[in-house]
Amino acid sequence: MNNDEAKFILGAYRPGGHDSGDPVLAEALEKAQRDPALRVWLEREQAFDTAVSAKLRAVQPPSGLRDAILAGAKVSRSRPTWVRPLWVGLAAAIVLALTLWSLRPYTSADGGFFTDGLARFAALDVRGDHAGAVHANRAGVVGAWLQDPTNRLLAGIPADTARLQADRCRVVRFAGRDVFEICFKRDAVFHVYISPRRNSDSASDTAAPMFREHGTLASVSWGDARNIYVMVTDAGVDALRRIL
Amino acid sequence: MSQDAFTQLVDAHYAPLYRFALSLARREADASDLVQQTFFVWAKKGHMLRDVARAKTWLFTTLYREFLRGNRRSQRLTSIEDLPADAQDTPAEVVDHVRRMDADKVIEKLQEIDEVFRTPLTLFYLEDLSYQETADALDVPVGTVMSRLSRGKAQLRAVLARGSAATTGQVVEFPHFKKKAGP
Repeated sequence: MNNDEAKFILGAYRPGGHDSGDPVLAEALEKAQRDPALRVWLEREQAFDTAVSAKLRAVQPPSGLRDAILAGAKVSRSRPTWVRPLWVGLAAAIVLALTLWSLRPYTSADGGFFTDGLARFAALDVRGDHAGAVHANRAGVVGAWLQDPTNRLLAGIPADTARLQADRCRVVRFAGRDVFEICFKRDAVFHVYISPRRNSDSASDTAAPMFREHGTLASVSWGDARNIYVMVTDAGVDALRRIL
Repeated sequence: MSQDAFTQLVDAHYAPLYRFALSLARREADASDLVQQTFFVWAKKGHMLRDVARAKTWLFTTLYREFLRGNRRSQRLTSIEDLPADAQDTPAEVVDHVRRMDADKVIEKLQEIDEVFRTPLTLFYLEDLSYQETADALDVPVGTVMSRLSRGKAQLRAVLARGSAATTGQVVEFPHFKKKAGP
């Protein structure tokens, strides 16, 4: 083994010393101990790798990511029976395959951190769990209002927290908050996720309607004095615009 | 897998997975999507993994495959023979330069590296996977991982040296690799 070969191998020696017991690296490490020039090279290489590694590991994930992962997994495991007929299961398998294909950057948006995260979460939820499921007839006054084709959503959904508690089809947890979900049908199937506002929500979390694309799905988010809304459909952005 | 076990799995791996995703996807929102999708796939298919000890490698592999599915593109291939003779050496000023840089800036520099080299290089710097586990995750031979690490580091040194030279007035050449004939 010459020095170039040793350098090539030692390039895979992680800076934290995790690989000191690796037999492939051991020979190159021994050579570095015997050869002063190679030892100097290795020390500088390790200093460089340690510095880069420390910087990379200092990057912190967004604060809501962990909650979003756990909430997403929770709803994907424990679905109510009324959203789990056999055909939905088969559709979910197909949707999952489409999801893998369609995972690509969605339209860039600055709709507020919580709203952005909720939109992604809602799209994943619809893709994975209950695409096509409609159960607004179980959602009382709010569901009936949403199904009425004469109502425009931006006019104000009659959905205060008490009403949502009573009428919601489902409650999911996202970023430590309860999100009420109602699915309904007009000319297409829509899934609306409603989160009561908090004082900590930024102004952009309640800004004008923000449209996003998530592969085969589209979403729109908006807010009013009471709630933040995200609505998802597989019928495209135009279908969302028609009922807003 | 119980909810507690799943939570432990998320807590143990979501941060390094996010860093890996950020180096691949370059945007915070896309990186978050990739990590969520990876755990979503785990929730659906993780029970099929026989050896739970391999969960970490499985997660990195899945995230990388999810990224590739959304980013089908031709990969630049280069030859090890074209590596400049001095490309394996790290100037001392580059080490000092890295130490002074903000983490975000280092990530930006890392993202300038060709994807084929950036992927194993990021896994290397995360220190979570050995070169053998990286080879498994990327489905390439061990020698290829070492080769890509060597070339990736050469590119990273050159990118960082440019930043360093910007303050010292030095001229630094970016290493050029001869492309192999594409398939």
